[in-house]
Amino acid sequence: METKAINPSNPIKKLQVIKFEVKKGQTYEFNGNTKTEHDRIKGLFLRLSNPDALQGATLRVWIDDTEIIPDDTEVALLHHNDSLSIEDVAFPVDEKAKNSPVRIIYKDDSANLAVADSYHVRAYLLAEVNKK
Amino acid sequence: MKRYFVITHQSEHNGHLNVQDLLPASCKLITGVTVIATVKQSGELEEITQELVFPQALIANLLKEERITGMFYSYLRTRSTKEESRAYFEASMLPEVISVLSANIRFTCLDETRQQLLTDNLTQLLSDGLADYLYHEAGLYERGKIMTNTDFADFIAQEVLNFAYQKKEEVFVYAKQAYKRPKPYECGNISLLINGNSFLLRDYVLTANRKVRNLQKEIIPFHEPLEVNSNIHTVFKSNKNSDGSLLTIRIYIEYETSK
Repeated sequence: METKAINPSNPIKKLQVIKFEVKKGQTYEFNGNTKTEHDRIKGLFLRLSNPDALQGATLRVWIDDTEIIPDDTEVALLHHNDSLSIEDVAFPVDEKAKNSPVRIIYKDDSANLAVADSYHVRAYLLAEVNKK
Repeated sequence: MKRYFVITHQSEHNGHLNVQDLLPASCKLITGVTVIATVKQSGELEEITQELVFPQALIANLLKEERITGMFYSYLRTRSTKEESRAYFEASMLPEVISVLSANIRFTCLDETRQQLLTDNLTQLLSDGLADYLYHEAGLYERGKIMTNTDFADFIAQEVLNFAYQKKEEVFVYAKQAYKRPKPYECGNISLLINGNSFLLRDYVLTANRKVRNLQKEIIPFHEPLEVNSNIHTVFKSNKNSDGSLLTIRIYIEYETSK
């Protein structure tokens, strides 16, 4: 079998997962940090444990104190469904990692929609580590 | 570097919209736009039946019980006729098989009443059909004559599994209530104008509650250079399909920032 040559200039790709639980109609604020060992954040996508909650749910995201997703953006636009590869779906960004702050404000608006009591939200940060 | 800007407008009682918004000062070049309309409706509950995962481990449970495997070969095959064998199976073995299976097939997603219902259904199914299946379709008596003891026990367990699998749609389901998803419908036309003269969208048909894909697939690409303090004019003509519901229209503008 032929193996693909690894381009040495390609940085190593890593993933950071942020998980939180949201209740019906709740606004959840997440404050945390990117990993110190990661250099850049190159993309972002989300998955919900109950995709029925997508409709109407909105979010706002800051990385390294830069607002990368403005207020009132629908979560559906950043949602990863199974028919897509990770590369395709990531919301492309290019922000500093290295322990920079991450802030996510997630608003559920499914009070009357197709959602049971609560569900989990996972936000995935695609990170890169430069080879030393 | 690409950035996004969201403009949200709401239309109540099928109202038309005619509004102007200032674009952010850093927005020098619009590279794409997408419009999404959602209606908040009360989710209606409906009764549905949900399939449960078939419990493949059930024969492992069966073969673990020595009192059962013991019965499999010591007694069942010593019966001289098929009728005798079957009578023995129904009288002594079937109740044991049922008790082992109903004690071990448990689903954590079911509450006690539903679990009991499932156990009852399973018991009913096995007592009604298993003996017939084993003696007629699987040929237990004939085939058992030439098997070793372990093979014979395995064979019965395997056929019990087959039988349960064939009937899985009758037994391994449960009823539950689920919310109905709101149906998509055309809610009107939207036009977006930059500085009152350049159209980004013109009479673009909006579908409310449609399935939204990820942002990169939704964006309609544009190349619209802007002056400082540009504004965007939104004209929405409702087609009166929204009844009394509140329609939320979000306009996403993708733009390039000069870095």
